[in-house]
Amino acid sequence: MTIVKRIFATYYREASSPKARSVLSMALASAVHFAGYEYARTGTLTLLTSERTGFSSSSVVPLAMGCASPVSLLLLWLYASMLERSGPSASLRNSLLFYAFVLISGGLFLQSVDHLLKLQGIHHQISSYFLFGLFVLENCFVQLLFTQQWAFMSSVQTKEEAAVWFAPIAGIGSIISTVAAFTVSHTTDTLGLPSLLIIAGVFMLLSTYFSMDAYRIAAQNGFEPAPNANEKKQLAKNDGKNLLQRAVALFQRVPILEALCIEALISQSQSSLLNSLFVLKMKETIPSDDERARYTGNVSFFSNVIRDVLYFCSLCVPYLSSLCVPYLSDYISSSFQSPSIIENIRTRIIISATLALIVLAESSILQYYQFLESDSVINNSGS
Amino acid sequence: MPTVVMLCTVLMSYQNAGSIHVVSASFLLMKAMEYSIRGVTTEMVYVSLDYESRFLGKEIIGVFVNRVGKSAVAIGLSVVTTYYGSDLDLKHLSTALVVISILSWLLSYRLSKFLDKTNNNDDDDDNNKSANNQNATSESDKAKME
Repeated sequence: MTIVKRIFATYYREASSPKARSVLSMALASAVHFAGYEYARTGTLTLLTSERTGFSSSSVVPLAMGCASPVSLLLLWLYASMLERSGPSASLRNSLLFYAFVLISGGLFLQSVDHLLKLQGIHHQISSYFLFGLFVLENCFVQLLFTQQWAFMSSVQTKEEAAVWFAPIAGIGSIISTVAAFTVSHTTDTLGLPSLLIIAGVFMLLSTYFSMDAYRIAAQNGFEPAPNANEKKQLAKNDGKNLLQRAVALFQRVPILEALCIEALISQSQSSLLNSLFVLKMKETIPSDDERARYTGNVSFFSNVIRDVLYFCSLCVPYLSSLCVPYLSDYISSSFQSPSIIENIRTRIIISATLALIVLAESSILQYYQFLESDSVINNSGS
Repeated sequence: MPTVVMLCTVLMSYQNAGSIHVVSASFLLMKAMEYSIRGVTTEMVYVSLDYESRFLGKEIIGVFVNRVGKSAVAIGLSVVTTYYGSDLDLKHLSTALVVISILSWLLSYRLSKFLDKTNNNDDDDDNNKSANNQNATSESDKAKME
């Protein structure tokens, strides 16, 4: 019970601090954004590949994906100039509001001309080109917004806090987007495809609210992400430089960023190549389309399960350990004395390994609590 | 993470592009780790960087560089597929994957060395700060004593 009280006390103390509330708001904003993305992606892709609203050609999706690179460069340029002029808070707000506006207005337009689309006339042309543009924008915006929201969280947290909180934050986002993905088919059946875009737009508005709430709390408590005096001097040197010149100067000045850039380039190439090899190998080994689809679904499902387990473990370890350790300890001590269970070596090994894992994870979490406590002691004595 | 993926790709290449199960296992592991471990650790790297790196550098890498990496391979594969057509040998692709995996491992190692160096510098800075504070405190004590 002491451990449970301690964990709850630490979570409560942490959650009641302004920094934690601010990070929580931004984490929620990021999760809501991803939930909205699930709706927007499904709606746009289905409408774009539908003969009635989009294009019948199968090459339209690869073409749209190909257009994403130049458009992302354009968006990056707009973002960089907005960041320089108005700061990170206004950049995030404007990006989210613009995206929400495009989604809601597009959804309303498609819903209003739904009965006219059968004519294959001007409305069909408008809707197909709009959906093509929206698909390209979506692919660029998802990364642009996600990066801005995480930039805030990495700005306000220390390295030690980030080491503990980043995985659960990402895990919550992943779980919320998975839940949203589950509800998409039901929403489509009930409200229709264009409504998915409107709902996605509403999600973006909600994400804007939570993002601005995070920035508001940060500004009120004096930890809003902003350049310090040295960084301002550094930024002043960039006056008159274009995006490419700024990027080159930045990568030269910060060698880790340059190393990250090259690593990201190669690792994405590796991911893409392995993806292609997987698709080609499947095509070669499994000729049946249905079998192939089932196999891909299974691989994708297990991949998601492993990913969510990795996230979820870090979120639940304190609770699991406090709940399970006393019971498991009792069970193991009694099982080692019981002649019927002692023969089942595999059960004992599994239980012992689980206990060891939980204890190991708990000790690392407790170390963090001790760190927090020492930090609060220092702060209290300081005040 | 790069070590696991590299070992899987080497195994694939050793088995002439491997069985479907080896390829699937590599793909599954890479995707799971890419979205969980890699995502979180990359975010943690940015915590210690300055304002411009976090808000502009991160966007350049996240929005543009990642996409360029994917597009470059897609274009390369389109060219290879057009050139070889149905004669495309998966063995060559798996060899290319091994080369990229080794390169990725080396670059990750280089990045981790950079991070070690930065962390040590940060620790030195912290030590210097605490040493300066202690000196300042002892000097003020001395002044009080006098």
